[in-house]
Amino acid sequence: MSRTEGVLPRFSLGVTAVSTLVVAGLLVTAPGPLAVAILGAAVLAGGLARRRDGALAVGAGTLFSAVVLAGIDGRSTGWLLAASVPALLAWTSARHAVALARQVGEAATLRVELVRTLSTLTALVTGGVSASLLARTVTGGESPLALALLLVAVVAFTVALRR
Amino acid sequence: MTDRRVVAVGLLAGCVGLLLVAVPNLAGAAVPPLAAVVLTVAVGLVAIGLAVRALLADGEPVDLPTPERRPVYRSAGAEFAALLEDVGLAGRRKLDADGETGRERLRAVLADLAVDVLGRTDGDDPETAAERLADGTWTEDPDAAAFFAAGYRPPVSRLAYLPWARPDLPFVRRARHAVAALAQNVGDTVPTPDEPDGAAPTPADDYYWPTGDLPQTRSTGLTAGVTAGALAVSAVGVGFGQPAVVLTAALGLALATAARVWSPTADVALTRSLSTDRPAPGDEVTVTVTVRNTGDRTLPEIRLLDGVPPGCAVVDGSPRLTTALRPGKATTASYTVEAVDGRHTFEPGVVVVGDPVGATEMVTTVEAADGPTELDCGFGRPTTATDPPRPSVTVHPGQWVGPESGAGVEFDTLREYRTGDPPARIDWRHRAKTGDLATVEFREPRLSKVAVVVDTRPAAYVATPGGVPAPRHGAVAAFTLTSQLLAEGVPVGVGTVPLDGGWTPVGTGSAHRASVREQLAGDDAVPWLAPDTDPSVPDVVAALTARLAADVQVVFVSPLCDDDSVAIARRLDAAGHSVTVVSPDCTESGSLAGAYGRLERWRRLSTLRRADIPVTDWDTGDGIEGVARRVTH
Repeated sequence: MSRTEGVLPRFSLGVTAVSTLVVAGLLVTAPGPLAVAILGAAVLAGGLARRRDGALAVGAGTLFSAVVLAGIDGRSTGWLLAASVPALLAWTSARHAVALARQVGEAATLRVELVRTLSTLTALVTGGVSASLLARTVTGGESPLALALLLVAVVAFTVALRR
Repeated sequence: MTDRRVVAVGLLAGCVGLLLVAVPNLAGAAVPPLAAVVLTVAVGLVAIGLAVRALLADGEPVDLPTPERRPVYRSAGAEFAALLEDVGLAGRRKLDADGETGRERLRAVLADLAVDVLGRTDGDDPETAAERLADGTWTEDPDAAAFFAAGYRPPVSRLAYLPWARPDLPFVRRARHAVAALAQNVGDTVPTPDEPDGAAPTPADDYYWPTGDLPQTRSTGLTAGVTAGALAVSAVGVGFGQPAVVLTAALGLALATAARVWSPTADVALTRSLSTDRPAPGDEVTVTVTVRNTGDRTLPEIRLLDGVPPGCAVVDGSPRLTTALRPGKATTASYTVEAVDGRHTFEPGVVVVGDPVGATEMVTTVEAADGPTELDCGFGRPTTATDPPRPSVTVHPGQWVGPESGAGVEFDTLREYRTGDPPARIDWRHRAKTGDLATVEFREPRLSKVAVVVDTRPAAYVATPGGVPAPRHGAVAAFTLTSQLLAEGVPVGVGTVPLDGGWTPVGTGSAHRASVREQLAGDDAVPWLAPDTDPSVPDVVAALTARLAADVQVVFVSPLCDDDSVAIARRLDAAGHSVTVVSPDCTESGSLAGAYGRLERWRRLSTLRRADIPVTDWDTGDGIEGVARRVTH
């Protein structure tokens, strides 16, 4: 099966670029994570240029890792969740841009790009707000068993959702 | 474990975990710290394992077909490009399975061609031609002469061995010069031999339109990535003792949940309209396609690819459309195709419906619910009166002079009178001179019969870049010839080689012409894509001769782009079917590979003419009338 060779849609490219810049802006006070974020942005840009989904995943994963590194370094839960949203949005927008260029080519795509961006943003913000509320509701000390059980919960939910 | 049990385990673990975060002392009382650490490491390892598995689980994204352009066909002379491709730096030493390097094979092929060309153009016998090639006196081009006269391994720059180097090897350049010199020898267009041809496009396989297991709901890979990320970040968060990091997994879970809640359904209807469904060849036809959401919920992303027929190239607009539609709403898109001869059937539209976050999509095909499904172009009655295809095929039935004598008007012989001979045929002068009775025999007129046969073997599917394949040109030529012969009262039958496309027996009349049109205009008998099977020459000839009466002449329509086509024509001629060949020229003149293809075709045309088989070389750019005009006595 052959592919079309349309240009990448501008709106999704713009969302990706703005999201990446937001992540970089949030990390501007942490040189180490910022360097990792710049590396992730470069890989993401390379993935867009070569239209490789794998490179997009690696680039966005690196960008997200930069956020997590900053979080481990002592950032607040709210900051961590807020910075994670643009990192994930950059990935989904870049994937969408590549898929549209591959399948739709030169046809008008702005409408579906807007719908996709708003839907994804809504889901991410909902997830982020829920997690933030949970973190504010439950306060206390750190227990190794508590973390292990939270991890069990994440594994169970992801397995259920993957089925 | 079922989904509900897994979710219950997750909820239980999450609640207890949050309780322990709120009241850490409970953990110390219930479980020793070492056990908690072991549990943490074990679950972390499981999480990482599941993340890797999730990443590896999803396949490639769906690629839609590209009906904007015609399928890619093999170009005549592609085998020369393949021969050049086999000549690499590694080939300087390496032997292939036949014990012959690519260089030796290339030189052997071109030497065979050159000996034949020199024999036909300069009158050299094979030995003389081989000597001229060996001493380099056959051409004034030093590079072409060196190809046969010098060694296999001309010096190569050291830079050529660098990994990223793409050198134009001297041996390959000389081969190109040799082909250009041979083309000049036969008076053909000479391409520039110093510039290598670009990469040849890959011919289409048997796939043109998705027909597999549809509708199909598939993951786009987003869920896998989200799952892997959520599990990995959770493991990292636990490892570093950071509950906040674990909580970022909630973002991924939110995306996966949205995809799980909203599964895509292809509740769409398709309608299509054409500016005209009976255009003339070369006309532009505007196609308007409308897609409507017939379901009761919003479709956040619809991608539609209209089923452009394989023979029609899109010249303006796009048959692709993407939109989001609320229930009952519709949107339209228009594109323009250029009509070519044939009855073109639109394929069902391919529809991809995605979920709001792009995690899953449904791929299906949708038939147009309304509007024309076919574009019927050309294949009308020719307006130009032309010559018949062969001297023995006459313009009036009954005027072809048969091999036997009998009743007629043209004197043949005189024989001894036999009882019962008609008195009118008794030669009374002979009786007066000799006293014996003798009967006059006249040459007996016969009604000629013709079978027009189109070459549809896989090897016949050659075309210029972006052009119409030779068998489809052949179908147009066959119909033109058939119409002309039928108009003149000559019985005609129509078939294909091989006979997979059916056989219209020899017949006459307007109804017969209509059935021939039905056979040739559609894409069943002469499809736009090459068939998979390639039967042997004896098989196809045996199948054809089994359908042909002994006195039926054959007009064989073939591009003559392989040696088997020559063998078929000669075998049919040897079987007594008085073959005429009409050959649509689908070679390319602008490339070296094309020049090689033209040389090979020129050789085949020459071989048939030497065998006293008339060949009409038809430049398809001359139009349909050119076929019959060039078929002369």
